[in-house]
Amino acid sequence: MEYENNSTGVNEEDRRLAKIISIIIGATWIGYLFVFILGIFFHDNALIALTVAGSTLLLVPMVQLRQQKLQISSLFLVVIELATLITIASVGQGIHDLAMLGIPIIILFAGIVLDKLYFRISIGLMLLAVLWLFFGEKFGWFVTKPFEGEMENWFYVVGLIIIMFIAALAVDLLSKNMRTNLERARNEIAERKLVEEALQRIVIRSQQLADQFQTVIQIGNKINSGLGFEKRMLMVYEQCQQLGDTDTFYVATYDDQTGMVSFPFFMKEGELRSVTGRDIRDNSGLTGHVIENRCTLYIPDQNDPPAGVSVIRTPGIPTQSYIGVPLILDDRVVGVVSLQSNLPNAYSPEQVRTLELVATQVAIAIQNSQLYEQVRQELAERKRAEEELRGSEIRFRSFIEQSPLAIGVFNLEGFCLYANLKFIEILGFRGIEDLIGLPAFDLFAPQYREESKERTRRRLQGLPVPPVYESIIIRTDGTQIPVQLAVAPIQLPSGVTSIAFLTDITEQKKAAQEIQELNTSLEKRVEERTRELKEAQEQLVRKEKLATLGMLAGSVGHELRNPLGVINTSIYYLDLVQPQADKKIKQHHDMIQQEVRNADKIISDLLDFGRNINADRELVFVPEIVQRTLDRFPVTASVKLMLDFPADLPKVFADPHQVEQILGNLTINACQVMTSEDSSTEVFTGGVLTISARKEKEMVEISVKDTGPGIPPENMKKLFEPLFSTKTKGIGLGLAVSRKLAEANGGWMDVVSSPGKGSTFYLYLPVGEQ
Amino acid sequence: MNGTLSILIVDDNPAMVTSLADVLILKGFEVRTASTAKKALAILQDHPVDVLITDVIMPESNGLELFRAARDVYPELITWFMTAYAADDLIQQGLKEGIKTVLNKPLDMDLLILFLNAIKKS
Repeated sequence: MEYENNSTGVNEEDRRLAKIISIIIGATWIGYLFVFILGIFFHDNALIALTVAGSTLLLVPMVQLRQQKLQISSLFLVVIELATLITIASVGQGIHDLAMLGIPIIILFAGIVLDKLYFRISIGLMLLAVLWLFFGEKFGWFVTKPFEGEMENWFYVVGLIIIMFIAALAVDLLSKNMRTNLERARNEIAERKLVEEALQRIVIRSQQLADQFQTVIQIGNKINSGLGFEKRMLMVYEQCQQLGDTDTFYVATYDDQTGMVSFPFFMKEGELRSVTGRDIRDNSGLTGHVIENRCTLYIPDQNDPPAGVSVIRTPGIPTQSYIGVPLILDDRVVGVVSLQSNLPNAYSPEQVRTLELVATQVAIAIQNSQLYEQVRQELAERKRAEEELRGSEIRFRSFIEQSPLAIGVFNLEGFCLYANLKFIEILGFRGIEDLIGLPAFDLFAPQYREESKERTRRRLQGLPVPPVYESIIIRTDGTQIPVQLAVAPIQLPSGVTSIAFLTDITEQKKAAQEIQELNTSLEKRVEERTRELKEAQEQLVRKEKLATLGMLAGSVGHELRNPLGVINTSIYYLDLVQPQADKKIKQHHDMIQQEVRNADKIISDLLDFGRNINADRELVFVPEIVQRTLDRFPVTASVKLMLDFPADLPKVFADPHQVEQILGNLTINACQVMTSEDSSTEVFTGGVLTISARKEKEMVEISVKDTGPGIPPENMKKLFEPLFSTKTKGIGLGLAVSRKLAEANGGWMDVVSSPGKGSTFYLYLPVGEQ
Repeated sequence: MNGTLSILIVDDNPAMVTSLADVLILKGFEVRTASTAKKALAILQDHPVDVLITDVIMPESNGLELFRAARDVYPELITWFMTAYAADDLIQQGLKEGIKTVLNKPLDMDLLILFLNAIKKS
């Protein structure tokens, strides 16, 4: 700033110099004009020439001045002046002497106005001119005969003037130089002093600022160190202690909604105090004052409070100095930070300022603390939530992992993303890593893979897919197991996936099959049982019927046999007494005898049927019995008889008479069907009767085969029932009795018939012990 | 046994007795007849016979009782039962007690004559 002023000064001086030079030039011209007039007046041509030449020469310093070359300009000016002076001096006579005196006077006048330097030079020159005039006059050096004198006098004069000029110039230059140097040195010293003073002030100020900032920064750092509010404030307090005498330090927070002030941090004489909050509307105090005025309150001495501040001295609190700084955040007063000292004037304005800076930090700290607390709570909340989530995830994961249900997760493309233990176990994989990334259709038995692919395709197209279906999967060992699959889409962060619940339904299938089988068998059994019951009922009915029949047959048979016996014997008698009777009579005899036999047969059946059969079993040879049967019931002439018995046929254990009776029945029946005209469609006039036997397991099968019309299917069942007969003769007891006899002998009967081809009756009898 | 074989036929049915007797007489046997057991026993007292052919079921006294009574008096007497009802308890009892032959009604006359001739020869 001072340098700036100096530079302006220089310019000012230059301007002044330029002004002076131009004045001198002007003055010189006036001088020349005056001398020029004198020259005209006295007809002195020398003076006229001198003034014209001098005026012309003056153009040079003028031009130089115009070019701002002040030094050269002034130098030329001086030279011109000197030259003029010398010229005048050299030609001066009479009036010329006055002119010689006049020029230095003009110059003197100019020198007074001009710079000191030129002034001095002018003074010197003027004195020189006066001396020259005085001594020239006195010694007559050149006044009397200037152009008539000796040349050497001119040399003296010129040399002297030059030496004097050089001397004057040298002296002036030297003095000027010295003066300038001295001036410069003096200026420099002064300036340096100023600078040093300024620097010192700056250093001190900087130090103060640095200290202040350090405190503030330290406090800021402590405040922002992420500790709890109280700890932070404790640090602020510690730092503030460095500010000055601190007997009390407190931080008050203010809620502008309720007007309540509370003191979260109140440190007095090195002890944390708990101070109850209060409503500042009731009791404003200094804190309230700070809050209301929203500016720092500094009371150096509370005994002498500033105007407008009422100090309520709390008894026992000998506070003298008080600083209260509002904590302002977002243009809202959120509290007050205060420093108090028991001493008056304990704090400097700097300390007040520092506390103000601290206050900003404290305000931020309060906010941070609130935010921090909020964040801490949020973090704690989040952490707890996360832990809960993790816990629940672990729980659910383990549920799923250990679930007896097989669970697999597949992406939309049907690739396995996850599978639990059961899933892996069912499929027979060693571990999940073998399963991950496998396409779902690979898990199915070959015949189900197309279905699986179709389902995947439908899922990808967003078409409905049955949520539950049954299929067959193939284990890694190649076994196929039936499964039920329930598949549901689930939305995961990674995209839509399908969760598949797999159930091994082998057991269910087996059970279902068993139930099916059981049902079938039950049905069968029920059917069988029903049939049995029906049969039993039928049998019961039949038995009842037969019992009645038996009882009737017993008495009727007995009663009929007697007359039959009489008829039989009588006809025998008639035969005997009429050996010569004609053919017709004999034929009738035969007819009677035959019919008696038939009648007797019927009665036998009736009687047999009505009684319990006792088999008198013995070892008998079947061919023998057959022969006896044929002897007793000879086959009709039109029937061809064929017998076929293997040589190794074992004997049977049976009642021979009963077997004979059975075979007799069968033989008679066979002959009758092959010779009767009963058949509605054909007339049978003979056929082949084949009687054969063979060993069949533990039984001997005797078959009696005819080539008759066969038995219509509807009659097959009723065949062995009593009182069933297709014959016009007979009451239908033959086969019934035969069966009864067969059963009494530990055997049974059977029949196979093909209508139109004939029938075969079988009699099974147990093989006798050999 | 020599001469003619004498036979006693006992049956409560007179027609039966008559027809059988006629045939056997015609065949050369000495035949007596009775309609009851009582009468038969009376005949047996007066006229010993070789063969007794008796019906089993008869009023008053049956064939088995007759057999027993006759056997007591004539142990050598051959007794045949003649019955319309083969499975009678009386017959079974008779077979146990010594009856050798049971003739079922209607009688097989050829067989009967064969048997009688065989006895006659022996």
